[in-house]
Amino acid sequence: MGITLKSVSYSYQGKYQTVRAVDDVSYDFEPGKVYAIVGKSGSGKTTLLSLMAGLDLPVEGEILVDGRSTREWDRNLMRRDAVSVIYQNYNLFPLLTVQENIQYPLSLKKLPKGEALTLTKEARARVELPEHYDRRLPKHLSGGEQQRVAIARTLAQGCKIILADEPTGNLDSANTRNIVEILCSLAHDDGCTVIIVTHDTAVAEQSDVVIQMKDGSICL
Amino acid sequence: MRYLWIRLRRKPFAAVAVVLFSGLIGLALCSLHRGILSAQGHYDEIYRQIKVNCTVTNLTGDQSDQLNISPDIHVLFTGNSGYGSPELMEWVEDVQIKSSIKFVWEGEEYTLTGITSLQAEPRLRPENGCTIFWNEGAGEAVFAGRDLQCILPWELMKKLQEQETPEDCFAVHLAADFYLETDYDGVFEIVGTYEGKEDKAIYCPWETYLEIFRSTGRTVMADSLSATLRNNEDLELFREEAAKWFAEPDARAAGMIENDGFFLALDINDSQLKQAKQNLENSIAVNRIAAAAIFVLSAGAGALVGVLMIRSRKHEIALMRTLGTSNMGIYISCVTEQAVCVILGTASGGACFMWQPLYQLCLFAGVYLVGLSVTLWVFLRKNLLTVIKEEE
Repeated sequence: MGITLKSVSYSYQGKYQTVRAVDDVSYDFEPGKVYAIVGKSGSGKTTLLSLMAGLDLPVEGEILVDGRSTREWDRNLMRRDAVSVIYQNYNLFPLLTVQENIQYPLSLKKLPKGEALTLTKEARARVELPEHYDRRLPKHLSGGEQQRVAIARTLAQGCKIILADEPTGNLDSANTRNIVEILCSLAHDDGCTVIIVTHDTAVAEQSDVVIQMKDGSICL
Repeated sequence: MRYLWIRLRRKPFAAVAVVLFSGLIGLALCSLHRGILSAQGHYDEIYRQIKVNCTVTNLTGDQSDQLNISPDIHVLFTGNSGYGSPELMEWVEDVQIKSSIKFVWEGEEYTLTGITSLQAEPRLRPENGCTIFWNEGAGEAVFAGRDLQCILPWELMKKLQEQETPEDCFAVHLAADFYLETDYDGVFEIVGTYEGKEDKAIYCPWETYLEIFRSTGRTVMADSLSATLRNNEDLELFREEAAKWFAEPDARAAGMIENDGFFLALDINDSQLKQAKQNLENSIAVNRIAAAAIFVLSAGAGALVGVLMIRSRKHEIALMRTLGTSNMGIYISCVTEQAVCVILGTASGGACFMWQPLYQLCLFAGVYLVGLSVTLWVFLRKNLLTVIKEEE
């Protein structure tokens, strides 16, 4: 399952001006590879990632997810089943335990309780979090652990396209290495399309393809 | 939905606040309603307790003692004569009629006054020094029949005792004149005395007085007449009925042609009743306005809670949407959470008054949820990317 961008443009309508954040971007992201999108702040990386995640529709052009335009997708369904996003600030539910956080997207899919629990435990084990973390709240975890919970949630979700927005931005180098390894294994072992927006050169070096963005466009 | 349930368990303060708020509102609505019911219940009480007095007056509303009220008028209230049908009799009680005729006794002028009850004459009340001898002070019963009985001034009684006449009798001689066709002589049994001082009135029962006039071939013109309404709820009907015989006091001021076929007016003194009714109506109106204000404010409160909810859960809601929860799903779960809190609170508050009135409690919960829903829906319709950007 890949993502294809066809002349994608996007503008923010500000109070006094219109900002063109993404300008005529075309690209084909293939499954089984790790892509790193790099660029200065304001170059449109995060906006492009958000468009691929289906948080909004491009004003011009098309984004094809698994061959279907995001305009045709039920975007709630797309975010639930096809595309998963990992954020810099982990985005965990603060009042849910680790297990409940990982299980949340599965409850949206209305999986049977037993099956959901098995998937949750598998995902947690894959990111190497000990079992007794299941009942902990996110506030009791370190940044790296929280990010691993976020990745475990993505794993349990079973999406084949994983978008990561600065996933290592708040982590030290050891945790960064660990997180990037997990993401790379998802691409190389599980055939997922992993797209990482990052400033970190170490992350970019570990990825298969590096895409440079400038002023809303891709510089090849 | 499960997430919100977990959230509710782990962070219940906001929900508890909504439950308490709804409980207070439920309590307030029920007590306002109870206030209205209680005020409405007071209507019976004021109808029962406040006496409406009506008095025959001249057309300008003055209640002089020389009104010359003809028998066809006073029979309306007493029904004890053959002059007409007693139409007003069924509406009134404590009818008090008074009429006097002058006579001379031992060179001094006296008046024989017929009264319907001892209450009709303030001098004859025990607190004013009146003593009834008959049957150890049997009060009104003394004047109930047609027996020739009288109450006279203590000074006259003393004079009679000095003359050694039979102590318990007083002979009256009424000479024929304008009022009496023939002379009348009667011996009255003295049943009581009063402190007459300068007054020289001999009081006898109204029936006796009527009988005297009948026996001399004349009719009685009453000097004054008043009565109390039997049932105040029928006041307007009574007023309509009375309008067949009486003008309203000072009818000329109200634009009626002078006389207009009437010779007398009937002053119905219902100002106290009106005031009491007005006070009750005001109290009911205040309660109704307060209840209406609660409904309006509850929509505002719902909207405010919606805003606070969005502010405190903006991040969570955005995350839920990012993970694929539909707007409708979030909307339903938030509204359900609030509905549970509001219903729980309102039901607890209303329980003190057995959930009466149920429709108002439901209306409050409904209006509150509408206010909340509108705010929530407006927020959920916002573009997700815009929300995330705003948060950043």
